[in-house]
Amino acid sequence: MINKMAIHKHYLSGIALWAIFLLTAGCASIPVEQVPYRPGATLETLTAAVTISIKAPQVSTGGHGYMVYQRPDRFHMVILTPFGTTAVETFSADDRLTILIPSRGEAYSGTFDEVPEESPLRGWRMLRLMAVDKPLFDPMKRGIVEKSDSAAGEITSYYDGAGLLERKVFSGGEEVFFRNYRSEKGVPFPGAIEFTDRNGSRVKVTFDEPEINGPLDDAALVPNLKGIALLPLSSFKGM
Amino acid sequence: MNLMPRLILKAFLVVMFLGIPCLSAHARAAGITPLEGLELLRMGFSGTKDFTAEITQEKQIALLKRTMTTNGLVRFRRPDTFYMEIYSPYASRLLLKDNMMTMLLPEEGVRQKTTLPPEEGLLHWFSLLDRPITSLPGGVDVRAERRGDTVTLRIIPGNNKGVKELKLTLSADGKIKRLAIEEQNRDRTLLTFHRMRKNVGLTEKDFRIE
Repeated sequence: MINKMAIHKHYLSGIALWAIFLLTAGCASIPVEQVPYRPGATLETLTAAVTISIKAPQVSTGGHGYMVYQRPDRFHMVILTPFGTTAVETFSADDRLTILIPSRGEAYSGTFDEVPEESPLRGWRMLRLMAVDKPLFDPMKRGIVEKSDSAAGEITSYYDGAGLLERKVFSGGEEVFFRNYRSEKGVPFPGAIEFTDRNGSRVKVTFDEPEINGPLDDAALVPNLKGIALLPLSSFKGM
Repeated sequence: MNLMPRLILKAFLVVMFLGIPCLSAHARAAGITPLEGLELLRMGFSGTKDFTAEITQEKQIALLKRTMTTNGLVRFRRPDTFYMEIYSPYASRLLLKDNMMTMLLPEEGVRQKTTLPPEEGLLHWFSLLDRPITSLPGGVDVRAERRGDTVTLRIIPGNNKGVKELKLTLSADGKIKRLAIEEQNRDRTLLTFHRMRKNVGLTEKDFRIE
């Protein structure tokens, strides 16, 4: 009887081990199938969880949150506190930026040029650069491509051997790096974008669980300023 | 830029360490007054030299109709040290030493230091544990309710800024089980506390943010 139980236990253990082995082996061997990049496919809308870090010469900051984006240049970024509540929301479109601080019932609005020089938010304007070009994948482009844009000036783009945009350098000194591409419904999407400028500011945005080109409610891109004191952006002194 | 609004920090410390010295109350529900509810919370921490707990944070984003779920831990040691760590993929660490707050994003290499006003420091809040709550000053609404072994405290700030309501769920012995934060923008955050242990002998090395 004891022997039978021991054998039974032995078999059960063996089966369990095999199950674990097969499960893990299965997980390891099944490749994550990606839809091939579609030439010309562009990012029109995006919602994603994000991690952002801003390093400026005087100060560094960052946080986790989420982003809503609509081509060509409408952004809504929410940074959360470690407790999960909203710390700050930023909305930008064209050259305007609105910073909403719900806990203070205050919002600051103005053009990017009004952001105080010492503020790490100066780097925020670089976010717009991610939208300057489309698409991010062009199999006909390899290596270095130079062009001139009336709004952005001289732009030098660097493509990898497959035609994915890796880096852009602007005549104003800004650089944008696109990293960790993956295909989302055939749209090439970088998992991280990093911006630098000639003043030494560096902004890095890492995306998680992006939803590409889905429908967006317009309200997601417009600050709700009901009951909020609206102040000039030039008076923003930080959090 | 300080990404930790003081109001949120204050609210969290208040519910963690009883605080809430500036609350008014005008509701009585299911046999427990707001004052009794707050006192239960205070008693839950009496005799506590330190504690540790695991947390699950569920952030419901109204705008995007999605939920971000993270896990982490919190630690506290008398008289004035609090530590909170959220694990990857949204890794962050927070250390509060009285009124000196340090936040670290380890994967981004970002570290922020903020000095809070002394009245927002841990020494101030924790000193409130030493005496019973006898009155509820104005400023917010507090509601308390007991259902079986569970007590719910709802704290509703009256300023219509940021946080709309804090809902704290306690066990009958005053141990915190859940904290739900509803914001004016309809986002909701649920912090669930697991495996809370008191007086485990935490040392300085348990509060290294690195």
